[in-house]
Amino acid sequence: MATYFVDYKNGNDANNGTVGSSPKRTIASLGSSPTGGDEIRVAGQEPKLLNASCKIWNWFGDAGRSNTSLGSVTYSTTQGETNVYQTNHGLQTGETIGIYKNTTQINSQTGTINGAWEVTRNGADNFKLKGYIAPGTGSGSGGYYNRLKSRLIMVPGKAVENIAACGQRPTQTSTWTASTNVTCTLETFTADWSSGCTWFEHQYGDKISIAGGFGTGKAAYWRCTDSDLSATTKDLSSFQTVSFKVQQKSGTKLNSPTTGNVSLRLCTDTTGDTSVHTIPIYNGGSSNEAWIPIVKDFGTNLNSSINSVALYVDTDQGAQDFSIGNIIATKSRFTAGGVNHQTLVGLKTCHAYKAPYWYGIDSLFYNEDQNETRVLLEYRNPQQSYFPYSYYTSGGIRWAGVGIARTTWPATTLNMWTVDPYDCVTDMGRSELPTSSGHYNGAYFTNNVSGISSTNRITISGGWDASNNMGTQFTHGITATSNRNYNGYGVYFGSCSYAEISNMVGCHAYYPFGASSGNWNSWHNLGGVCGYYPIYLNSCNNVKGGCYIWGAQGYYSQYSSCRYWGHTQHTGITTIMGCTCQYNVYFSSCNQDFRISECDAWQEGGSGPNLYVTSSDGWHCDRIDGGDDVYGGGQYGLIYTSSSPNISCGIVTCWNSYYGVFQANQSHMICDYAYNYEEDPTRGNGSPGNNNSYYSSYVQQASSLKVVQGGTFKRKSYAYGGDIYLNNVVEDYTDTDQINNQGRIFKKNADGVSGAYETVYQYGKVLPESSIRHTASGVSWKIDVTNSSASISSPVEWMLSKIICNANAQVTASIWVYRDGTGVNGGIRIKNGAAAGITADVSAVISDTTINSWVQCTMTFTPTEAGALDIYAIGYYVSDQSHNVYLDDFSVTQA
Amino acid sequence: MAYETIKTEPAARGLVRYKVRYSEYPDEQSMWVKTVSGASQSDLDAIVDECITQNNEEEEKIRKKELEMYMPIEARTI
Repeated sequence: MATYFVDYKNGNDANNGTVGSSPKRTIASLGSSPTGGDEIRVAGQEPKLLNASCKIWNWFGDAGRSNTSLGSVTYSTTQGETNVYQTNHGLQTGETIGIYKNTTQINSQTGTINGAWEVTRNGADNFKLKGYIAPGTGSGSGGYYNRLKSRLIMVPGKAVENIAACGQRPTQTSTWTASTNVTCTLETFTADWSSGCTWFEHQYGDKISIAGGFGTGKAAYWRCTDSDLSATTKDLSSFQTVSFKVQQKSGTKLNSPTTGNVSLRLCTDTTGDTSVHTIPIYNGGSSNEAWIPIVKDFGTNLNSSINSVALYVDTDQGAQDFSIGNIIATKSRFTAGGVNHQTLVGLKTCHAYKAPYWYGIDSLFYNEDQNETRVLLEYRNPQQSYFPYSYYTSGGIRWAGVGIARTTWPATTLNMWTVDPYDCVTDMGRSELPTSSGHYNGAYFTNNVSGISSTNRITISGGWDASNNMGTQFTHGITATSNRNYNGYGVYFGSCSYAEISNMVGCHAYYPFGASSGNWNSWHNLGGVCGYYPIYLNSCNNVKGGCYIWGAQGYYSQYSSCRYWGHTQHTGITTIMGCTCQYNVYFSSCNQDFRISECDAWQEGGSGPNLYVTSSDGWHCDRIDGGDDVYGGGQYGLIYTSSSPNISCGIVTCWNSYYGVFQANQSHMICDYAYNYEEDPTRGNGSPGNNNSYYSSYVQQASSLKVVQGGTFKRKSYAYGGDIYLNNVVEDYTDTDQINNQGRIFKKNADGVSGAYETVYQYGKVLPESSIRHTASGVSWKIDVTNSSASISSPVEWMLSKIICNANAQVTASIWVYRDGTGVNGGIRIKNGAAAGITADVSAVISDTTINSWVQCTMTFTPTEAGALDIYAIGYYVSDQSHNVYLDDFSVTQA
Repeated sequence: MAYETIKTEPAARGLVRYKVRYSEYPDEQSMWVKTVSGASQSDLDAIVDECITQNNEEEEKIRKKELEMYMPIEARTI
């Protein structure tokens, strides 16, 4: 048994990798040496404390997506005094909102309140915008705001310093100063249903368009300003790192810092000429929509007298078009208190509390007024740069189990930790950024590092401490890698089988964490973040030893064609989690005994479900938990199943979801218990003000849901053409179930009452009745009609019996009917075409005005072929729905 | 709207089911709602109105979603 050592950052492929002091740099360089019984240790990062008193606002539901129309605004030229009147706004002092689509122009000037602000609560009906300085006085209204507390961390003090392209600009035309052949604009974007947003932190991107004839040199500069919007000098001497994001919509994008292209420079003079810090910009392989993080750690204190920043063209690449945003200074990477645009933040709880996530960062901003640093987290797949406050953002990110109360107020303070992933170029030595979805050998585990059999496996783990030659593993340590440009695979396992894989996280890639054809593996403490497919497992069969995998801030976390996860007694606990993606956990063709223990899926973004199960016949999960997916989104609820005729779950618990369990396209789900909860949606209490939940279950045509043991529904069910079977489900709602397209709801021990039965149809319901019955035993069927559309031609009906008939002999069927008024009627019916010889509906109903007395209603018909014929019970509306009709004692004979 | 309660039934946990008629003959429609015993007609009317509004919204959403099902995601409004 051998141990191999890999250090992506400081290793050397010339080493043989068999001692911790001389690790390899890439997995690929290990060749085919590792085998069953061996171990590969990968050096990783120790989570660093960002701050012990980070503030997270308590929240739940749809805080990130749901907007509120902005009330009336009274502008003030005094900083922080502009007031918004908003009845019962529910905001607290220090809370953050994002305002957009306000078009008020003050005194014909161009100051706008659009952007991200902390607020000062001014009573229940007013709040002020901290830091905002109006260019004039007056009043206005219009636009919207979103609460941003669902993806926010407030760090005490100055964790970063704003340098440029942050927060409010002096006016809406305050662009960078352009050189000849360069055009600068302050670019905004208001298409809140669209991707490709030109800003991310505060309403604007600083756009610098370089014409083909520019050549090289200073393209544009910005004179630094203070929070009061006046020119200022920035003392950055307590920081070592510069971080910002760049979006390039046109022109050549270069992949490597060594090839040169453009650079951002920090300058001591006021016009961008005397540069003291140069940060090369390379963003090759990125989409035109993505904002790419650019981070440079100078390893020494920055200059104490920065007056301007400038963009320089270092090598002429012709016409190019850059947008720059959120330029900040921060502490060194891999140090406590450091946080930049590539940093991941989390609770360092790993397996504990179901909160293993490390989240990517959207923007960073120091709010001088409240001496706090605002860390806004990514809200979906960053590659697409969706409008930050929209239908397509997620409801927020997920904090769980660490004492954060699910109440709307107040904030919780707690330790927050950071991990700086290894940058694939600057740390890992990749020659350039990835330009396609291909893998990178530095983090590509191939079948060269597979074990031999299910009992002779290889161990591969990250998070080892390089400072002691990987003799120990950091507590909750991981090995995290960043592709930076949202392209390619991050950490990737290809045909790596019989392996015990743990403690690795990929980020900022197309497939941050991917694996294919990896069989008989265990997968623990593995995550993917900020990518199209944060997790992508394909054809990974026969888990052995369990799994604990999470994905966040992406589009799909996908598991496809993974099979036999319940095939062996050695499978172990299998936990899969996802949040802040459009499809948080997506199972496709995971059939053939695919069984998992737990699935947590929260905060879907856009029109997808939290948990999607498609073409996965036989899929099973012991416990499904999730939600926070409500008004304006969450079209498919906590769990959406499609084309999956046989799926099952032990307990499904849904929180604050527009739909709870959603079945469609010939899907049939059976669960033992189902629970649906809704928390306080009141805006005055800090929620967005929309209901958090509308339907506990929703079942479409040719699909069904069965709750076998019991549960609680806080909202009604919707049978949209499908069938819902509920046993012992407490109906904790006031209104009535909704039914369309001939859907049905069958309730046993209805509403949690032992022995109560109820069947609900589109236009009425049927209940057993023991007080009004023809024979003094058993029950009659009471039909309650609720809609005049339940006519004699389309009654409330159900199949009462199948009768076996001979050909060419008259059948006589009868039933006893009772009604308490002539407003309704009922009986039995055989339908046209039930058998040859039956060429029209034949019915037996009360034919006179008899009420309050039992009437035997009889029909006869003669089939001309033998067979099984369906007899239906019917009840229908005549003129008054306050009446009831009862059926009892059906009999049938054939001559 | 002022509606009419046409039936009542006991329900679980001490509550009462009320059948409230909210549309008259010939297009007569009613629904069952469940709330506390002795609820006023105006309380029941409010529950019914909220339910009708939600049902209509949902049906409109479904109609819109079906119309937009084949549109590219960027063009959808739901």
